[in-house]
This record gives sequence, structure tokens and C-alpha cells, in this order.
Amino acid sequence: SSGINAEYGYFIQTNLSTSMSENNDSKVPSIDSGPSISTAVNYHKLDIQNRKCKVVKRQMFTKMKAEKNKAKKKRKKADEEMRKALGDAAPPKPVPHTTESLRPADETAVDPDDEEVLKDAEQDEFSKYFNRDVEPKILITTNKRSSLETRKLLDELVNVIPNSEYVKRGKVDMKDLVKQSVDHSYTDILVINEDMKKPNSIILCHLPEGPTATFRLTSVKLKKQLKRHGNATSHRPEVILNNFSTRLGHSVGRFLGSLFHYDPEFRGRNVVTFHNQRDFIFFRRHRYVFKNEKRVGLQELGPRLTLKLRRLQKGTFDTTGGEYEWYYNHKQMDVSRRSFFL
Amino acid sequence: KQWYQRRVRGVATELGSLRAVDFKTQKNTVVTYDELDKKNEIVSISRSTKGNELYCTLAMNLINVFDTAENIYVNQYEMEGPLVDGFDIDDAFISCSKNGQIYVWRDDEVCEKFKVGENTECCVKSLNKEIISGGRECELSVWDVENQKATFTSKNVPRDTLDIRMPVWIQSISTLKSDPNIFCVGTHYHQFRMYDKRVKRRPVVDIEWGELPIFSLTADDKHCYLSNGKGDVGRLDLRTGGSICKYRGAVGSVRGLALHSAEPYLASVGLDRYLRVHHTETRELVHKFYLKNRMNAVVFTEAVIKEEEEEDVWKNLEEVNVKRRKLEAMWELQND
Repeated sequence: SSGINAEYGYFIQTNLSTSMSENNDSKVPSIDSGPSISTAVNYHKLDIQNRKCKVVKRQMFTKMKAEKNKAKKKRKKADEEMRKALGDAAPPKPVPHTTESLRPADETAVDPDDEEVLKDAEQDEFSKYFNRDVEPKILITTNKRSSLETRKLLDELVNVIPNSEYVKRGKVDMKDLVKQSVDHSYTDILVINEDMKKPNSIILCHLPEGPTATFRLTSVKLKKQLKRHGNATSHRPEVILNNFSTRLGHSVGRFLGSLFHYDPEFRGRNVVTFHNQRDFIFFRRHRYVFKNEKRVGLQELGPRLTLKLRRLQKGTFDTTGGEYEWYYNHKQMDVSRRSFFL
Repeated sequence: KQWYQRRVRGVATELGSLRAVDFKTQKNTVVTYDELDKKNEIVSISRSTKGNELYCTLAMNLINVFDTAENIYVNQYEMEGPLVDGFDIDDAFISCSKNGQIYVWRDDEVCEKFKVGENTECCVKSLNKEIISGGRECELSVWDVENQKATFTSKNVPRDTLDIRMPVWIQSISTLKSDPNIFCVGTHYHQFRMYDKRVKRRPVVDIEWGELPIFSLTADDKHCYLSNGKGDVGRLDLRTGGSICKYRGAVGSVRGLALHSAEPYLASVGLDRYLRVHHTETRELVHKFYLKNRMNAVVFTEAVIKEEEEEDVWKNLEEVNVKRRKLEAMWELQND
């Protein structure tokens, strides 16, 4: 029987019908089974795939599709009638599985009331920003000899992050850059690295001793590539951090949030969202408008980015002598398709 | 004969709490000295030779003595400067700070002070009741406590092919279980070195291991266990100096390693907030505990089983599965 193999976490299909002529009506899944393949058809896909004549193949496929749809409608109708008949006593509707719903409960998931987590947050490198004792001041650069695309992204990022400055990289090494930034009292460095003349990764280094996060940067869409985009004002945005549920995610979320002033200008109605889903962090920027109590209008501004955490290092950038808090290791981490780290 | 030994691990954390994890019941107890604060960060733990005490070195300027039987802090030693380690040798208690200053305490009073070198990063007790220390630009040296002199100082390796002097930065030191003349050292430049006092001043074995500084080392008679800034925990053979295997699982930097004195278990603890126990021969991950803080050091201790608790012991025996019983029986036989 088909079902979810708990060990491997993916769906195993084991009830394949083997012959075309066999009547599979008896194998129609009952209404309270979970997501299932429609087995009430007389064609098996391999029989269709192995047919050489394209005309016949197409005909068989259309027939199969029609039968499948018919069976589905039948099931739905039966389901509706059952629910009507039973009313409240009907069994609950089966909820379809998604990658998120199949994610195993993480041990390190953060309980917002946890004393130790709160104490840690009170004393970590970002607490000063969330207490509004210090204002973030960010230095944005690129790798040495950056190309046009990276510089375009740069311009947009300088607009997104309040109190940020672009400085040409020149011939400065990363460690020297860190030193010089500390001297000029910057609080963070954002370095956009590129590969094949396209922006590829972001190194976020918190100063003076803070953590360094390296992200893989993909799906970069600049403002002009977005349809019906808006033009941002200089108001400081609000920040939304979604779904940073594990302990590691909590730290990364705080890190990303500390780049922005913890004092947004609500008048500007700007929002910056870091949405974490399956270890990918989606960066979006919107302007919102409350049309009435229930409806909100959103206009997208500024760039779209997708970030994926590669490494989180405890000190400032130091690949030879540093201590890593989290290091992406493909062999150890890509073991299961269902578990995620942020 | 103790059929059933409760193995407990004492773990030091960044926020100053000492956590004890019970191997069998999988319970987790937390003891804090003051409050959970970064200034109370415990840098290292060492077991005392006398009783059930643990010396917890705080980063600031205190060494707390913790009684594992009573579960309370008993005593305290105060010393200036960021501290490195504290342990006892015979009657004396020795505390070491990062400036290289060593205080010798007898009866809770400072008797002697001497300097071991600037920038001491680690300090360890040798089997001959001496102090071994090393640090950044600070060669490995063995100090006699009474005479306050170095009985052995290591020499730097020869210059490389470009005639450049090799920098010295010792991050971890370990002695062997029974041989008092051999010391293992892990450096910031991911080198593993073994020094033999009787043979020569330069290292007998000098290998590169991994790509990041070797933050923690612990050694057995035949093997030595290292850990990295990246989470690589590996095992080396001391005769050949060759790497044997790695214990997988750790994701962040592993700052503390501990070997069980009798049984083949290795505990590792680090920045990824997990305590892992591996079987040293089969490399199996036997236990994994999520302890919410970043951790600095581990130590194996044995819980004292009082008479009233014996009933609990017998109850728990039935939960143990057959495989584990067989393993334990095997080890029992081997140890006899």
C-alpha cells in the first residue's frame, strides 16, 4: 500500500497496476486516506510510454487523462455527499502534505519564553542595536574589480539599508577591510562577491568582533525588472523576519534584523521582509496600504534577493584561523530532503 | 562489581552555567554560579584528584570549586586577569592566567607566584606533577612547581624552504594517560605535534591536520583525539602520527573533548550547542543532547549512587535494550 515511509520521509508508490485490462475499481482509495494517486484507471503510464506510434500514444494519454478526471469528480461528489449526510460527524478533511508540513520537529526550535534564549539575546552582539543604544552604520562594497551587474545591485542595496555607504573596494584584503572599518566606526560590512560577472554571494560581517555570515545569493531581480514596481522613499523601513524557528535561525534572524534601525518610520509604510522557507531566505521590499480593516494593498519596491546561509563564523572574517558556529557540509547535511536548519 | 555505572558529563557553557547530563536517564541538570551572564563564562573544567570536585575556571577572574556529590559551589579562588585553567597538584592548587601568571595556592592562600611566559593559551597538569604551558609565540614548556623553573622547553621547528621562521601558536595541549614524557600539542596553524622530553626539544611528530586551528586535544596511550574550528573531530595514531578516522556530526567549532577513563567513549562539545558522545572504535554517535548554550568544555564524572537510589537503578535496568547489555558485558569482561 502506498504511504509515507516515516524513515525516509518521502512518498513510496507501491500499488502499481500492472495490466491494462485489470479493473482497478476495488483499489479506489477511501475518502479518509491521505493524498493518493488516482488508481482507478485502466492505463498504466509505462504502457503508454512504451508505445511507439505517436498518434496512438496521444490517444491513449488523452483517454487516460479523461478517465482520471472522471474518477476524481466521482470521488469529490461522493465526498461532498458524505459530508452533507453526516454534517458535523463527518471525518475531518485530509490535509495535503507539503514540504513544510513534513518537516520533522526540530530539537533546537526556539521557545520564545525560554529563559536561556532570552538571556543569550540580551548579551549577544546585537543586543545594543535592539536596545537602540547604537545605530547601525553599514559599509557596502564588492569584490575587487566588480562588474556592472554587481554595481547595479549595490546601488539598490544602498537605498534599502538606511545609513549605509558604498565604498570602492580597491586593492584592500578582507581582513584589512575589517580593520579599517572598525577604525572608521562602522558596525557592519556587507560585501557582494561575484562569479562570472554576476553577483553570487554576500558576506555580512558584524563589527567589531561580531559574527560573520556568508550567504549564497541567487535570483537577483533589480527594481526595473519588476512589474509595476514603486520607487522607494528614504523612510526607514520596518523589518519582518518570518519563520526563523531554530536556534541557528534565531541568530541569523537577529543578525539580519540588526542591519536596520530599530526605529522605523511608520509614516513611510515601507516594509522589508526576510522570509525563511526551507533554508532559503527571501528578501522582499514592499510599500503597504490598508484599504480597509481586512484588505491591504502591496506595491513591490526595490530588489528581490534569495539568500542561503553557507557559513556562520563566530568572529570577524577569518577563514584560516576562525571558529565556525555553523558550516555547511554537503555530506552531513544533505542527508534528508525533509529537514532544514534555519 | 558495578554492573551499571551512571556516566555523567559536566559541561561548561558560555553563559556561565554548568550542566550535567546523565548518560542513562538522559536527564539534564543546570547549575549556575551567579546568573546566566556572559561575564560568568566558564572557560574550562578540570577534575580534582581528591574527591568529587570540579574546578570551573571563569573567564573573568574566578575559579569556582564545585562539588558534584552535593551539587553546589563550595569554594572560590580569585585571580587577576582573564584566566586559562586551574587544577591541583598534590596539596597545592594552581591557577593560570592569560598573562602567564601562575599562582600556587596552599590552604586557600597564595604561596608562590611565577611567570610562565606572555600570552599563555593553555596550561595543563603533567603526570609528573609539573605544569605544561604554551601559547601564542610561547613555546611549550614544562615547569617544576617548587623550583619555579622550566625543566623542558621545546624548540621551534626549522625554517621552511623559503627560510621563513614558522610562527608558534599553541592552542591545545594534552598529556598521555601513562607516559609522563610525551606531550601532544595542537596549534593555531592546524599542526599536530608530539614532543618527547627524553629524545629532543623539537617535535617528534609534526603533521598538518585539517584547515583550521586545533582547539581541543585529548589523548590516550595509543591514540589522540583532535578537534577543529569547523567541527571535524578526528583520531590519530600516536605511533605513526597518521590520521585514523573522523567522528562525524559536529557542525560548529568543537571546543571541548573528553575521553572516558575506562570505556571507549568520546564526548565533544562546541559552538553548535550540542553534546555528542561517540564510541571511539565504531565511530557510532551514541548520544546527542541539545543543550541550549554554546559550550566550552566537557568532563566525564561519575555520579555517586547513594543507597536509597539503588531501587531506581534496578528499575532502569529493564529499559536498557539487549544490544547495549551485550556491549557492556563485553567491556566488563575486557576490563577484568
